[in-house]
Amino acid sequence: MAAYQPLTPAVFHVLLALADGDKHGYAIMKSVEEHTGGTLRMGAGTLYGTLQRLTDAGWVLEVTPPQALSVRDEKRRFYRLTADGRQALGAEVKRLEDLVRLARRSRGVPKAARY
Amino acid sequence: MRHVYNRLLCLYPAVFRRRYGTEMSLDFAEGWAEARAVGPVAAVVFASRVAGDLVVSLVREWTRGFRIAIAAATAGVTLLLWSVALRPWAWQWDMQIGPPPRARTAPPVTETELLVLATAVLIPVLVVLVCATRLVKRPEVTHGATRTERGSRTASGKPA
Repeated sequence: MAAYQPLTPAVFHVLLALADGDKHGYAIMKSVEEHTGGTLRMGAGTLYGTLQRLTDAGWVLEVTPPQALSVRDEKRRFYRLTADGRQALGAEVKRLEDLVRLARRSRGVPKAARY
Repeated sequence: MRHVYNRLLCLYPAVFRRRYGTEMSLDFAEGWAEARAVGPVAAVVFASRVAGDLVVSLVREWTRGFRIAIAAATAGVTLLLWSVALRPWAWQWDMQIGPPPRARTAPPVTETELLVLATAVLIPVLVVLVCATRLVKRPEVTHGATRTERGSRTASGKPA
């Protein structure tokens, strides 16, 4: 799994947004903005470029839109996290956890930042 | 405004535009309507953010797949420009043993030479800006074929 890492922030946040369930592009953008408290706002070009790479890699899948859709969302594509994508996300979370654990053990890091 | 954005979408590579153009246009329309509902400042902020994203993603999409080749070509061009900027034609090739006949000053730099120098300095900076992230953050992933629900597209790749 080490070969998956590290993920770029854009890839990580897109995978994280899709971990909650199938979403279309605009919903992913909104989800990323919400997760990061507004500090990361992905533009459409960045988002769909990332989705293209993830789809080509088999981490994300285009799926049939759900039946009950508003007229506005009918033209949109929906995306789903695949097992590979979920595995990559899990591996990245584990890597970040290890880094944080390492930093917390370090005496050079201020105490306030460790806990 | 959406009309302008749709025109700008034509700048993306055709494959990308065909695949995501409609969705990008819809997203822009929705985001623009939300921003306008908040106020004129929010609308300006939204428009500037979209413009920034457009520039960055255009470069990314057009250079995808051959960034290393671009970096190599740029390095070659930079070397060439620097070799021109050193002005070998202005060097004194007639070396003589003994003290120089008279003190010489370097010939003045022309505007063209200054322009060449400025370009030679800017090019590596631009290349680093465009390529650095891609070259550094590149996970080595190998996947098997993947089939989407909508079609029979199969692919393998390396997301970064």
